[in-house]
Amino acid sequence: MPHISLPEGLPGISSGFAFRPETAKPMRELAHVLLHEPNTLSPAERELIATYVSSQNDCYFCQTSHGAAAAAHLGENADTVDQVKHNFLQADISGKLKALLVIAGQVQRGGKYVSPKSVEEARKLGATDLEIHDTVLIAAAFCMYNRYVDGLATWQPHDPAIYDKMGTHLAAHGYLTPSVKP
Amino acid sequence: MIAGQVQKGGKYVTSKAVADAKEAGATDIEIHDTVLIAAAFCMFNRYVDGLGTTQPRDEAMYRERGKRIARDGYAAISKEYLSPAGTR
Repeated sequence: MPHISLPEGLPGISSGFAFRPETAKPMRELAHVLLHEPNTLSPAERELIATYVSSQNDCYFCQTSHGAAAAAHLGENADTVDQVKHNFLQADISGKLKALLVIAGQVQRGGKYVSPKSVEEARKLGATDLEIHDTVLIAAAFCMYNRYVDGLATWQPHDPAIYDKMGTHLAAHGYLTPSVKP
Repeated sequence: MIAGQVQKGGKYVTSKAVADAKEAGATDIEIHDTVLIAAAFCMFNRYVDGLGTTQPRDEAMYRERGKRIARDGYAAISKEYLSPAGTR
């Protein structure tokens, strides 16, 4: 049961967005810029960072919806999403992305856990300043989104079909418009 | 109380803390915004510390900044150092 009277029938974050459109707008815009707009990191890579952080924060709705978006971007490699959640160092992803996920994991614990060594490792594997900046900010932002979704105790369905549909929409259109219609 | 629970993690927010807040007069919007402010600062704090930004220890600077933010808000103050593309 949500802690406040959120509109019914809208899963996860979309119920919060419908309740409070004024804050929904900048939250959608931030997600859109970070995860969907052009970047030297592919949308799949950025969605995998978001999925990883959300799984570390144990937010079911967020890790499943962003995992679905990552899978949609990757095409067939849905296994990769599970690998990243459970053991990213062995996952079928680039060395650079592994190094960025180390940084993301540190940010998830707290900003001060980000070590110069992890940053140096990421640079050695080709990460640019912009990519490191965006990794830190994606991880930080998901520490916000995860807390918002779970903090309000939003309704989080467990039907995979709902998330597959969301993932397809998010991969195609990004975050500016709802991926679920009431 | 609720904000402190959010800081630890969304799932730490208890029905009791919410009920207590409502009993003390908090509205749904106030509770919503408390959760979101707490969540947002879990982002801002990680961003600032995660990049290892320079954080001066000059109290006076923060007080001056605080006055301007209180008067003009956050979007206005960022116009002082962002290009037009950074403000909308």
